[in-house]
Amino acid sequence: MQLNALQEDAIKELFNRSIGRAAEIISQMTDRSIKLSVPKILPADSPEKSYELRSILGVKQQFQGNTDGFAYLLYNDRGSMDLIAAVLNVDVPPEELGDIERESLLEIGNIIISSCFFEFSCLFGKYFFSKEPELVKTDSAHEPFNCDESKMESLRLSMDFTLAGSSSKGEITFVLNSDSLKDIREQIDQYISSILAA
Amino acid sequence: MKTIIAIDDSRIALAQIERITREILPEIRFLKTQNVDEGIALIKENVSDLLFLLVDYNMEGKNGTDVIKEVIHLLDPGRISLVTANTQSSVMSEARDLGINFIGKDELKLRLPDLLAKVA
Repeated sequence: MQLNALQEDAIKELFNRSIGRAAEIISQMTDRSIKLSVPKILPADSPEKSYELRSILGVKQQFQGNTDGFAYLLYNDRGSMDLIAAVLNVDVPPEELGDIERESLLEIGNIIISSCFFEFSCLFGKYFFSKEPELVKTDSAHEPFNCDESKMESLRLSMDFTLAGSSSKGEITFVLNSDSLKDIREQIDQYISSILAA
Repeated sequence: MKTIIAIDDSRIALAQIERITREILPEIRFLKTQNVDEGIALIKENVSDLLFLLVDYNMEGKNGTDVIKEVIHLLDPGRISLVTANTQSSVMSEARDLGINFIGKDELKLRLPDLLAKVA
């Protein structure tokens, strides 16, 4: 998804606000602080170069409405287990992931992804209708994006979302229907104009 | 001339802060930068005229409280605020420990005019 410098600045700032809100919620759930990095836009075609996710455990959520696509919250599996352990107050190895752990991870993903949708909805005046979150588990950084790529284009927004005392790293990715992209760019431009017009 | 300085790595966020500031203080000298080191230099150069300082938290290189710790001895802490989307209690505590103000970016339009009205 090609964006100019100002559009990138705007989308990163929106993402920053979304994740900031989600971090507050997760911090309250875990009673631990969350260390956040500066948001980045990553190249869509080389996930393994820009983000070292070899073994992935995360959450995928489809959304529809004014904009159609998928949102992915991807963690290296140790990162996901650290988050689950903090929420449930138990330490579980990835190979022993049970129903409660799965539900916890889905809930964490839902909170973070929904926070992004909320921020985007408020500022764009558009609605995102999200479906039930699904678990994503794979051993390859290339595998999670299994939607119809011929009709999709990705906007890869990345931000470290690290529990205090953990080395977990996560990334959130939006894969958008190509038909929605023009609309998204126009909405970003309108948002920028509303800020800069004064 | 009375001056307000804002440091934020987002140009959009800086523009939003400037717009709200100018609605309250239209004649104010408003200095802004996306670079933390440049921001620290701006503060030191303009400390005698500085009415209020606004600093983002999550920035490349140094976070907002690190920046503020470098200059807090020069300013009244009541004239400094973190302005951040990171509204975790741990970040609010950092601001409280320094005796400075804290504004969540989602409440910027509500809180910033109040703070500026108090110091103007």
